[in-house]
Amino acid sequence: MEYVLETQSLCKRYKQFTALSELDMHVPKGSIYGFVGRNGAGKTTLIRLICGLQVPTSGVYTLWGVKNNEKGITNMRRRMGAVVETPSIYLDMTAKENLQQQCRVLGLPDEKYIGDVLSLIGLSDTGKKKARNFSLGMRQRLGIGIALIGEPDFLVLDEPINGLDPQGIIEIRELILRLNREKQITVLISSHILDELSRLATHYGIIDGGRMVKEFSAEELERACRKCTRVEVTDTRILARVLDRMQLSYQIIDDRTADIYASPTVSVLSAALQKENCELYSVKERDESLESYYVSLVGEAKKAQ
Amino acid sequence: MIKLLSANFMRLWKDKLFWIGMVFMFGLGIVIPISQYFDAKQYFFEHHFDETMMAFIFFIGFIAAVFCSNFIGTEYSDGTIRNKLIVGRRRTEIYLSSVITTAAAAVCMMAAYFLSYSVLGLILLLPPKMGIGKLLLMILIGITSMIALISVFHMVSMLVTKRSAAIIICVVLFLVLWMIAFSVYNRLSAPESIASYVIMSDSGEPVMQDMLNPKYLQPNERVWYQLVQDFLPTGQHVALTNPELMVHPVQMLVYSAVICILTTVLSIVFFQKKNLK
Repeated sequence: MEYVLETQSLCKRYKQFTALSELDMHVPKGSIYGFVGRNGAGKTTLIRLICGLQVPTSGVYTLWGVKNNEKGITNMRRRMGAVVETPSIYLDMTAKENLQQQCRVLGLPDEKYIGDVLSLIGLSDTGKKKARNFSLGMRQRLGIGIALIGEPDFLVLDEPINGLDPQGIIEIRELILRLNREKQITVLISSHILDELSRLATHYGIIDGGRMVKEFSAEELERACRKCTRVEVTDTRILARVLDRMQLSYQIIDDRTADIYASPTVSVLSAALQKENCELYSVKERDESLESYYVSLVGEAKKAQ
Repeated sequence: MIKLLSANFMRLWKDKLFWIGMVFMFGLGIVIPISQYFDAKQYFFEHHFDETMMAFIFFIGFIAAVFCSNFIGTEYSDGTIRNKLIVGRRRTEIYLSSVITTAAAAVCMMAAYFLSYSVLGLILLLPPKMGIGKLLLMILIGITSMIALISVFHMVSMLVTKRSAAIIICVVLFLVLWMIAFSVYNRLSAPESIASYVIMSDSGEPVMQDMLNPKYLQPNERVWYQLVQDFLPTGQHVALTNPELMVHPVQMLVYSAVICILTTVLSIVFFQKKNLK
């Protein structure tokens, strides 16, 4: 798999405080990577590092295979756009002037991009209104618009829906999906609003205490979160034989526990197991979401520590 | 770097504080010769063009302190400095382009003053007493010392990321530098003797007698005071308003260059290591 961003044992310390610790991360090309973690987990620190705002204490990261300590990293950054924490916009300028500024920073002809970007972010009709008078959602969209100048291949968005109203959240979500699908832009989104993230992301990375707890794809999450029935039996080998005969998909958790991705009739299953001298102890319905998956992963990580 | 300069100059063009400074300096260039003209008419004084040519220098320093810290501070407060770093612009480029922009803004404000002062001054005031060479040298020292001062303000503004704090520090720093320059000027211009002591003569009449001035600088001290006067941009500014103090004009130019280079190199080193948010 080709990765846009990879980190290897990335660390960042501020005096006594360790913000990132041996972080390994892989953002596949073309993905929408949901970077999940509670406040203070290290999401923004990682974003600051990859944007060149800060330097790692140790470890490396690569952008399109170029390491952060190599000369070519600045050229790779030109393929990036980012909104870190708050949108970086001149408040006493209009939306158009803000985009013109970024065009100049990148040495691009103004007119080529500005009209397209303004309509893409839905700010074409803001005229002479200064960014100071924009709503939070408009500012957020303008921030994304600035990040889009120069047609980046990789967009980094730090908490893009924080503080937005429901309409603003929908607009940002649709914009991100459009950019990913129509322009094939790889997107890294950090957020702790898991429900919203699960509507967008194709890949996830869960960070806690500056460490990567787990990386997984949306398919893996779907498998993990599929509606299932958790059963407890005396022997899961017998259960597996029975379920194979019943043509039901399942996953063995341990010697006594298994998840069945269906809702079998309990009496039928119990009778079938009984025939093979296997007792059915309990049956529970499970309906896992990204949120519960996150909680269980972080909980396991805490126990492991 | 050209791209960053282009972006910075576009921003400068739209900067309100810059235009306020320009209008103020242009207005000052009108007010000073007119007031000198009426002063001359009323009290029958002779005012020459060069006497008040550099009278603006305190004002431009103050405006530069506020403008520079606000212009740079906005990059931090609005977070727009990130937009430059994220797309791969080097920190050295960012620093140099903004120091060039703020210095150019200060020079533009000075030019606005010189423009209005020159037109009205040549019409209303007597011709300059000093030669054109010395006039140009004074203007050159004015510009270089201003750029040196901007370099100092720029360093403060880039390293203190809070805009309001940067503005306060720059203004206070400017006033402190002026106070130092004035106290140095007072010592340098102190006469060798003072006639303030009164004694009674044999006939009982009070007599004034010259006494040695305790504030008069001895030659070894004078060297150091003169060095401070020549080195400090505000010291140079005081000298520009009292041209008889301009004893080392070439050294003044060199010192301004030294200040520019030192502050720029030092702050680039710190800025490279700075954790930005």
